Amino acid sequence: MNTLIKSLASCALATALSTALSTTLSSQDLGHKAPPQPSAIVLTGVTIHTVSGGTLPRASILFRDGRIAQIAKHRQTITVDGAVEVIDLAGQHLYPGFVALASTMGLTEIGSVDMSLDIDEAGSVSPEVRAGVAINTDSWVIPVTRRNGVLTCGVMPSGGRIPGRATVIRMDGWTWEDMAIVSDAGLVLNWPSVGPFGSDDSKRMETSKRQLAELDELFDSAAAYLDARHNDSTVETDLRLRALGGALLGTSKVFIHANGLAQIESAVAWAVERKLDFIIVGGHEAGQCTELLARHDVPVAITAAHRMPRRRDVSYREPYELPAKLEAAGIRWCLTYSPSSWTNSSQRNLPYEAAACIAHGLDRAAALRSVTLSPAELLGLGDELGSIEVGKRATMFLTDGDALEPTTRVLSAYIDGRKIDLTDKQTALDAKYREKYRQLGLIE
Amino acid sequence: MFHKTALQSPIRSLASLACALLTLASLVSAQAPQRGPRHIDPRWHALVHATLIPAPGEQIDDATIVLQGGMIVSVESGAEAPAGARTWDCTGLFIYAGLIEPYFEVEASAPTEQGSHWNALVTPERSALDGDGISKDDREMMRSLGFTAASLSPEGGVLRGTSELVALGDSETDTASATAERLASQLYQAFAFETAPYDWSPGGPSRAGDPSSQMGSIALLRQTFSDADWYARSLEIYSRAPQLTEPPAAHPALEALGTGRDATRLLFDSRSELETLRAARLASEFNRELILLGSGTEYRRLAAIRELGVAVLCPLNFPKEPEVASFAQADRVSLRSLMSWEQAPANPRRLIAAEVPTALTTAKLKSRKKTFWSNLRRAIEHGLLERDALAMLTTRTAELLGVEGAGGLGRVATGYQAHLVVTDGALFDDDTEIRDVWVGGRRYEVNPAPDVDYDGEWTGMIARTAEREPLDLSFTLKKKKLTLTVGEHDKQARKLNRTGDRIDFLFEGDELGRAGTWTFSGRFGGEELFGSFADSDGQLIAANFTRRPVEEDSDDESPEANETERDDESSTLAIPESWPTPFGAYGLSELPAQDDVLFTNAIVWTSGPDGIIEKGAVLISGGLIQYVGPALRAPDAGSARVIDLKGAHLTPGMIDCHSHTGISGAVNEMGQRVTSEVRVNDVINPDDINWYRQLAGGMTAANQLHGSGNAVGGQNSVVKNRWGAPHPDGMRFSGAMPGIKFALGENPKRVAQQTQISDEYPQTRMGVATLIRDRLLAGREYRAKLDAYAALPDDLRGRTMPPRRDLELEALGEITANERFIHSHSYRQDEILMLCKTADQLGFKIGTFQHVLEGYKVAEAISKSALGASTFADWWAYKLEVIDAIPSNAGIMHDVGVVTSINSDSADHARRLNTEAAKLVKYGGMTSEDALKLVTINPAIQLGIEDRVGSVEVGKDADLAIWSGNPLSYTSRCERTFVDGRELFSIGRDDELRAEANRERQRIIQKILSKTKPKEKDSKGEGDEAGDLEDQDDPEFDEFGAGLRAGYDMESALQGDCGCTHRTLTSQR
Repeated sequence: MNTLIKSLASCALATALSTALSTTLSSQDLGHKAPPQPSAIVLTGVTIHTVSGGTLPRASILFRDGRIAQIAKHRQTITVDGAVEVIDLAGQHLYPGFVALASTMGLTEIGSVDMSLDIDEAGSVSPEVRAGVAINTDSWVIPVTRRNGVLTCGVMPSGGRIPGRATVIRMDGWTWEDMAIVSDAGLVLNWPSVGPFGSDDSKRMETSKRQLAELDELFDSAAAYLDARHNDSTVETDLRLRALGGALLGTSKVFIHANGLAQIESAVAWAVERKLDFIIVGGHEAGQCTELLARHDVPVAITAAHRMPRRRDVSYREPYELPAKLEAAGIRWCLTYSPSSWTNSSQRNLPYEAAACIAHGLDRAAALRSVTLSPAELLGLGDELGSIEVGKRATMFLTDGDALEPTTRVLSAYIDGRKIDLTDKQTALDAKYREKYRQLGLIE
Repeated sequence: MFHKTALQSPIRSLASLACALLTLASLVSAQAPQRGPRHIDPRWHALVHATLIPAPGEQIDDATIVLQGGMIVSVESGAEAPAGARTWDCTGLFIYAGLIEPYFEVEASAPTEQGSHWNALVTPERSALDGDGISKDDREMMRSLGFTAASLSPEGGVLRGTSELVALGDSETDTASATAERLASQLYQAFAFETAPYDWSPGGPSRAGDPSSQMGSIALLRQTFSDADWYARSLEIYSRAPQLTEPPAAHPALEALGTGRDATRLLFDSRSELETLRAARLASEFNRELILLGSGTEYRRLAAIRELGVAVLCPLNFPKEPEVASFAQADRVSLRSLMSWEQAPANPRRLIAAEVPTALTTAKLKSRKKTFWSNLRRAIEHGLLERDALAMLTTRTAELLGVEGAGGLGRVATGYQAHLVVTDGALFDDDTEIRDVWVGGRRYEVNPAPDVDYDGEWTGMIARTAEREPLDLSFTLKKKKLTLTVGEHDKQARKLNRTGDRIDFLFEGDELGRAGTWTFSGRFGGEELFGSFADSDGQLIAANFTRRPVEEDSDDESPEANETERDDESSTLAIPESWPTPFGAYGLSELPAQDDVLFTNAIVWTSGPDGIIEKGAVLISGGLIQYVGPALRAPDAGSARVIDLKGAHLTPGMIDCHSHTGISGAVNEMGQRVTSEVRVNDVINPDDINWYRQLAGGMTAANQLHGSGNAVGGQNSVVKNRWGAPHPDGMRFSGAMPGIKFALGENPKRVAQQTQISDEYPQTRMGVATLIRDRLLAGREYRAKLDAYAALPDDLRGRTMPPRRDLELEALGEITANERFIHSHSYRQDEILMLCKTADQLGFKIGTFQHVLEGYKVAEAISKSALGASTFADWWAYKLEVIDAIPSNAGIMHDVGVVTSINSDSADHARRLNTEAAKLVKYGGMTSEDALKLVTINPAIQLGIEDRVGSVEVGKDADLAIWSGNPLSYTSRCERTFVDGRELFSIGRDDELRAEANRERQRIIQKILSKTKPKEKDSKGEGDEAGDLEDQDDPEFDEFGAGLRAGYDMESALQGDCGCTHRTLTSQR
């Protein structure tokens, strides 16, 4: 049976929804995960920020089995087969979920408590370890982060030369297997410091040379090992060298952390020569080598805009102006935090990194893309996530305004079409203590 | 020995000093038994035919200087040498007074007597001669530079001990350890803001109690000077009524310090111009005379230094030439470093021009021998007059040390000490060498008179012998080559050996008509050579040669090299004569005026009773707000500058209730667990570039807080963001309520646990509570004791021992008396409630709870016991005690009636307090207007400055920020910032400043790069790139790098809990 739905207000439904939100006391870390999308859902009357196809005011969207099935502009209609839930959300804004390219989501809990951290394996070179197997699905940080619309996260180990391999997760699931979108998303590599060193700093210069030589040796021996193993199946297993296989063959991405100009140049030269599929993460001085990055089509994941200028003389605006500079040079880029226990609990502020650049000349659409579609593309998920397009995953959220503004509230969210609980420990504590003051007669 | 008398009144009579010296000498020799026959040196000399520069600007030709018994007994032109004096022909030589080194550090052992100061860094009773004094090598090195006397000062420590002025001779009267003759004692007592790095690991360098921060070091000094005053006062009272009082316990350290103007003058060893200003404030607080060992950076804030009216011993520690040979290298160097490199050599000249009494010192050079003269010549190239330079090494130095005048040093005149420098040319000429120095009438050769040049053509003959006819023989000598000529035959000599006036060689005799190999040995004497040949039979044959001079060709000095050097010099000399404040990029050439400005067509967020005025106008004049209201009713602009904001937003300047910006020398004093005597406003750093960056975020006032390592931390400093203020004290917010940092919970626990002291309090929250209660009670009881003393009748008070002023307890007493606000680092509700209850019971009001992330759990208690709460918007999960942090914290506290603010605790977040506050609209359900108050009027109330700032109201200070759009939006930016009605920041001006800075950068970089042939020694200088500055004032201090090296993620300069932010953390590691 075909049902024709028009964009009509449904106040009762909307009210019921918001009541449910504010009275839910269970925090997500204690609560349950969202069940699969039960039936097709249509949202009507929403402003859709598609990212890839402009902004559609008073539009409608149909999603089914976790994927976006139809998008209707104002006055266009949506056609649905079978059971459908229709929700009119007039005045609300629909965004694709924010994508955090790099995080330590589920690997770290409390920065200062060592036993709550699982990001840095012994030794400096650990490509054999993978983030995905150690993600704590009940981390307190996960529901708090997604309450602000961050629905997909790259999870990366950190520390040492090669901390390990990344996993991309959806921000809801019973187990880490449920959460994984891409379980082996690429190799993380921290580029050595390559100067410039002072003329009297020969020790650091030597160290740098040695570190670069060690990297070469590691990749050369891994190639040799894989070759040997390919030709002789009795060669015993070396998990460490085997883990470099994807990177070596170009089938797996390499996230190279590099910030300084010399560091970026050195990393690009090395990775291009080795024909790696790589991304520069950090990129603080990428604005000084745009030509090089453009020539080799090297994408840059800029680690944050809210950061201090590199040096005393550098403009306070430089970090905010870098994205527009890369954009103008035609370089693929996105904004992210660096994966660290200290930044992880602030991952919910990711959209504001993009917003701050708007104040300094970045195009609004480019800003939004830099925390949605661009990071999805750089994680290899450009066809799955990051924009509101038919066929993509219904991973998105609704707000009462511009999602890049700190005053805007996230009202509801879907991950693969599943309605996500937006309460968490923090909302529970809020409710609990407001109740205290109600009892004391101090608030209404 | 003459202690204080010698220093207070300069040595005026020959008799006093000479007699004293002789007495000393005989005393010393009386102690040492005579061994072997006596050696008698009459020390009676006449230096004749010298060109004498008796003092700067004077000259006596053909001078005869007679020395006797270590003194100069006559100076006269053309005089005969007296009979009996040993005569030295100084024809062609120049004579100057011996140079005086006013500051030379030596090791001196620490005092071990009873009554020494509890802190091992405080050793004022130490003398520079408590150790081995100046070593023989150093004396020789100093003499080789022309110095004949040096004021030794004990090395290391906060209060270091007293100086000893010694002659730099190697006197036979020395005993094994006394190294030199003492000329005067206790010319100064040296002090410095020395700190002990915080490292309590077993075997680590720190002792408990050693100050780890500059403000801790200053607090230690302040208490010690206060103690010395108190000790002197106690002695005075005791002397008045010895029968009624007990004498104070003997305290050599305090006794050595004396009191007020009667005390030994202080010398401050400065590492930066800011330290200098701090030290001068401290000295004047205790009415002490001060002299400075300069930092070499005085020029940066010359006007303020000049105001001090103190003398400067100026070092020549010029910064190393910055490395700019590649783009990346140059990119790392700050304009501040480049400017320092360029300007430092002009520092001595500028001090003189500013009429600051200045002497030169070799102190602070890594290698005096390599650098002193070359850097001095650079200073002269940069405009220092030679005459001034000479005075700064002789007469002026003697004056500053109080050893000028007859019997003293610094001049070549009758009745002065026989201290001379003999040179082969004018002292400051490039190729002049020092020949001798005379110390106390004894000659010390520095460079021997050069070998006479014997090159040339020599003619003579081999004398007749029994067997052979005489033979005419000549030879040509040129350096290492000797060609013999007999008739037409030339012959190269072999094995030519020349040493001084001796010459040896050998030659084959055959071609010269003689058989075998001959040798020759001879000795030059003037234009003659006397010697003898030995022939192949071993027979000696006398020979005599005379010289026929040859013309010299002068191809040694290439004109090309000279050219290059001249270019180099002229470019070095062309240096700017003015620069911005602060020194470096973004500094202001002059302070913007407090113009009359009418802002029209603005959306005015008043943060006051008028709320948000949609079409508003604001008039400011003379730094104050004169009108706020609808644009329609705005007064006539008159002569005021009109700024049409075209619908942009105007707000009060942001106020940051928790900042660690601009605190020099570490944010947390780690040496003790209770540090209420420590004051952040002692160490305001107006040069911190973060002030400027925060101006660019609309931030106009801040609460500079001590770190959170101590249950009772240091006193706060409320400042206005007066970037460009001529004096650091100009940033102070006068009238702000005094405050103090307290800290609860994990931080003070962790710090106490890390010390090596067993059972160091507090290791639990219970202990924190107890320690705080104990200290507050102690403060109250101390105050009662002071009150009781003050209440004594005058006569009785004059006979009663005064209570010792205790700066720690004084500050604590002010808290319970409601004269000082606590700003307490806190997280958990239990500890918050604990402090509330303590305050309630002791009857005082708390200022603010800081961080207070569980404030929402006990908001009713906070609203009753404290002025307010200052928190973060949404920062959490960085430590165990913040797991219950919620982003609606500020909203709930606000709803319950707590005056709440949002602060930064981070140089990064301080640039965007507005958008942090904006999050409370979302998370806390606040209105936009209330949200902005979290960073304007609310923190003003919390700091006791709400009558002056925090809202846009008539009569308040014109501290304003202009925003391109809604200030609660990330997409708006701050366009202009006014402080006291001065436009200290605007987007347009920022562009200009950056362009200016870049031009200056490139100009100096080009100057360095274009030097084709750098004079290695001269222009490279020495020292670190930054000069010898403390880290935070150090232009090269790379916060980011330092953080990374400390293993801290600096990615976004996260705000944290104070004491855990980057800067403190690096000092903690």
